[in-house]
Amino acid sequence: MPPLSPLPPAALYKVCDPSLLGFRTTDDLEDLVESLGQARAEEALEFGVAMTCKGYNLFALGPPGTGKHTMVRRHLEQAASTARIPSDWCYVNNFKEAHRPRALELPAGRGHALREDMDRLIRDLRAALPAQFDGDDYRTRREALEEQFRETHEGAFGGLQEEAQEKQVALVRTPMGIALAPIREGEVIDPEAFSKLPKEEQEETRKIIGELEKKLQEIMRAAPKWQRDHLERVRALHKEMIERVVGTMIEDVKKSYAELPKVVAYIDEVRADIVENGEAFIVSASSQMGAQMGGQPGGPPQPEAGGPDAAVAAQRQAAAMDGFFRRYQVNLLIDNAYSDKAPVIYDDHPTQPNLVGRIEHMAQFGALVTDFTLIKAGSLLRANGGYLILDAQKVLTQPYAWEELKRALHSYEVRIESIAESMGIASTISLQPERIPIDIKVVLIGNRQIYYALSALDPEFSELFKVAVDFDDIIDRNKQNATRYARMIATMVRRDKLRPLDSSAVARVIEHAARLVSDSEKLSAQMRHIADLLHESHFWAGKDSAPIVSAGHVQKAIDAQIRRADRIRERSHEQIARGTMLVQTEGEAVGQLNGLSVLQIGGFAFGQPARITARVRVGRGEVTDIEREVELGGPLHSKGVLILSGFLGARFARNRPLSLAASLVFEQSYGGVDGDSASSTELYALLSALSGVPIGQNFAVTGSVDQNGQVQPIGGANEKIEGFFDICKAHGLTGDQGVLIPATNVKNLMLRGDIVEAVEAGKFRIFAVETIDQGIEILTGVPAGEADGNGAWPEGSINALVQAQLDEFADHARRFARPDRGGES
Amino acid sequence: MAGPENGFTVRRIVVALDSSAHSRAAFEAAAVLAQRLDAELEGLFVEDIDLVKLAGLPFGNEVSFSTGEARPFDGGALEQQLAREVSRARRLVEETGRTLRLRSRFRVARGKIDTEVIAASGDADLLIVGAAGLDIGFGMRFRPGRVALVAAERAPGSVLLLRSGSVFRGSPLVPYDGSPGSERALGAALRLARINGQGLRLLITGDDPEKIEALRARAAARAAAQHVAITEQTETGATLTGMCRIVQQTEADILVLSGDDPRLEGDGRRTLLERIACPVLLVR
Repeated sequence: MPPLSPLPPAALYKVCDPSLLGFRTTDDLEDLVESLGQARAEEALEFGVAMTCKGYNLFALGPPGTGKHTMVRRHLEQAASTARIPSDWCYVNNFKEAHRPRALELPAGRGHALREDMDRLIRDLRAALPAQFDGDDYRTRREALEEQFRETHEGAFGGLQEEAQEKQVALVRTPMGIALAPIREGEVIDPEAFSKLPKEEQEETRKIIGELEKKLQEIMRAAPKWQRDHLERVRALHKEMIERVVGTMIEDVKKSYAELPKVVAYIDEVRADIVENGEAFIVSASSQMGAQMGGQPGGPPQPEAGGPDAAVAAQRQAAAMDGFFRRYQVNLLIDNAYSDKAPVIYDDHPTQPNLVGRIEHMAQFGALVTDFTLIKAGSLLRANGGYLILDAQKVLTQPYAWEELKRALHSYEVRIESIAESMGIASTISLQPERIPIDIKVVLIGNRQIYYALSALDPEFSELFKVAVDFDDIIDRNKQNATRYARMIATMVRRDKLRPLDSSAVARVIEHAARLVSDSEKLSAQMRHIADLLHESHFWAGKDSAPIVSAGHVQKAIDAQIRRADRIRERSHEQIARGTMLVQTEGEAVGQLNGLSVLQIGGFAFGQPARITARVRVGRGEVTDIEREVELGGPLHSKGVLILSGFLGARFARNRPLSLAASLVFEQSYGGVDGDSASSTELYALLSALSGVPIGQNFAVTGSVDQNGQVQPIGGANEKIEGFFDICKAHGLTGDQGVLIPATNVKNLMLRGDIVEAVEAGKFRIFAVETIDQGIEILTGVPAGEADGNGAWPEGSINALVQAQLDEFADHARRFARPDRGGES
Repeated sequence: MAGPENGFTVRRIVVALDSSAHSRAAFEAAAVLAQRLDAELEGLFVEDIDLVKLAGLPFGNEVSFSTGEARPFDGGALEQQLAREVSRARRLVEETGRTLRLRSRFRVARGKIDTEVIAASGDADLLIVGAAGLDIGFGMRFRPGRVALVAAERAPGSVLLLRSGSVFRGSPLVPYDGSPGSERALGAALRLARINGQGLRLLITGDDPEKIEALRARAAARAAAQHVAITEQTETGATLTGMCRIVQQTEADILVLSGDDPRLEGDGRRTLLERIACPVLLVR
């Protein structure tokens, strides 16, 4: 096997050549209107917005900062600009069932007009009706009715009184009624005197009183009817007076809404109600006056009032009257008077009430009361006829918001009620507003985990959100995308009023975008990070008083970001430098090798070298993962270790037992370990331990391995290499230090400039290995050896030495095996 | 009694009480007046002798206001009822007196109500009686009440006939023609307006412009002396009916008249009490 050469510097970092970008500064570039590398999402959005069938709501999924909100909003705004302006919606009083307010739909702008018309109507009536009742016409007719009523009952009583007087009987008021008593000489007769009257006279008196009593009873029984008739006549008079005023006024309003039958029907109901309750207008005028004058009543159909609390009572009555007139108000829930397109609403606090609407209450004389005027629209209604954008996580974390959203989308209508009511735990009488039909498209925005969780766990989700708008977090790095990336940067620079970037700065940003996704052939689509970098570069350019941001400013921004975040990395590397954590970068050791791990803390990741050691002895073929034994190793790490047994068995113990007991450990590791990226390192340590050939400690290794000895790609290659380089640099670069990475990870390399420079200077090496045999040769300087046709390894090779050790273990095992357990004797 | 120059002096007030809600309201209004006038207040409850006699008759029935049904009028029940009413009235007088820190007392008499009320008012400066009339339910009321009518005619001192509303808010309306009676009425009206912190509505009656001007000047001088503002209105030869119309139109709070106003002769008092809804003070 020819010796493997280290990677050339060009393979470690893919440079973006500013000269190929074709501009001087971002000012030379046009805005990028379309999205960058989100063709799939664009197509899905166009489709979802255009689809009008049920359930074709959208879920925009992807990592944060990929421009989901911006793109969704742009598409929806575009669609909304050509859509019909939706209707206005009002709630009005239901005069038959006040607790079920009625919803009225009016063409855009007409709701506002209706509200104004009704307010004006009531205002005018409150002025006109009292004047009507203050007129001589009313007074005269009312007095005539009162006179008629008085004449009726006084006539009846007067007649009876006269008849009684003629028959020497008086009407006497008792605590509970009226009694008839015989009189003599103007005085009620004394019982004793009565007993002395002749029997005939007594009988005659009894008879007369009996007859008068019957007449009195008839009068008393007729009294309720007289009163009823009188009140009816008064009411009819009031209605006539009110009709006279209301008729003309309300017809004027009605004419304006002739083409809207539901509105016309409502106005007719208002008319009927005003005629029915018109006296309230008069009482209102009186009580307002009373409140101003300190409680003195006045005016025709008003109740009597008096006493020291009259002012308070009058004020209360005035307040109650103001409350009464609320019944004629129009609660303009949705007003599209000033809209020029369909609504696009983003609800950033989608609680259940904010979503479906709420019924508010107000305090009135110590109690909380409500009516239809206190119904408030939620975002579902505000977006009716258009589009509603919601953050999925917020909807899901607000109690009952998700359930209410689904219910509305299922039923195509909004039912405004409190959470307590919708849960059925409130049985108090409240409002049940008429449901309002909705025609709406909802776009949920969230991360992929939420989308997949909802798909798996909520059967209704896939019925209601049929369109997935999947945003990619990476895009291909090619010339076309680099140019578009530059335009995107230019767009953001102009949007945020930043200093323009020259081509070197843009190139550095593009390189950083590749590093963000750890792939020299891809670019990050998470524009939030890029935007942050642009802002910070702008800041550093400002510090230099530079009108244009250059690559140096971008680099300074990147370095500053790292500096702000790398306190833990610094402490960790310091531990190694001070010898607290033992990591060698020189010398040799058997069964020991530097592995590489990545620590992710917040948004910052860094590589951390660690000694991995292997010890072997006779056993039953087990490779013990000490991390796993103490429950510090995760399942992926254990899987990697078990693969090692598979590799050793297949390569060295195909025809005999693998009589090996091995233990592997991450030395000085006190936290958890997971992932299989150290499995190749562990195998190298094992091979070294078995062969007895020392491994150069000037190397660190990363990469997973399969059962055939193929080295497989891992994540975090850049951070791992940089981690070991920093330790070597701290110990002193010797020129023979380096890192072994899987060959398939070469495309991921976007290493720091100082590493590239060290490699160029021959002070550091990076090897890309494909197999374990390639790796062990580099690490030990001893050929791995290839098996001949009989499966024998070349003498002195690593594989031959390993084979010999395993054979020896097998022999030992056979000798120690007890005959009764089936071992050879 | 106070002369015209001295205004309206009241040292003792008698209020006729019965069991009605109207009577309670009247008493409370009287108590406030007594406080403002610094007068002694006496509540008088009269046990109607006619009822007592009726209860003793072998065939006494009463016809209920509310149902129109006749039921036996029980003497034992009447005594209990009267005792309860007396107790309630006593409590009202005592509690009101305590609350308003009045010199007050309560008295019970048995006899004919009008006779007893007139008799009790003999040494009082002001008699206050309810003039709401007999409420027989269903919006029907006999106006005026017999006691009010008798008091208006026969009480030796001034009489305040309380209807609805309060006598202690708003300004009094007083007809003024310069007669001794109207001078007394003006004095009483000025006193009322002053203690209530209100103005006075003056209704000057007469045909002669010079005389009217003189009356206006005279009233203005008296009002100025009492620091009371005057609103004037002139009527030529106001009749009782005309006066009632003006009271109604101006929504007067209390009408103050001389007790010997010639317009009250004959059926005048009855007409006045039938037509006017506000309280009436007859000054003697």
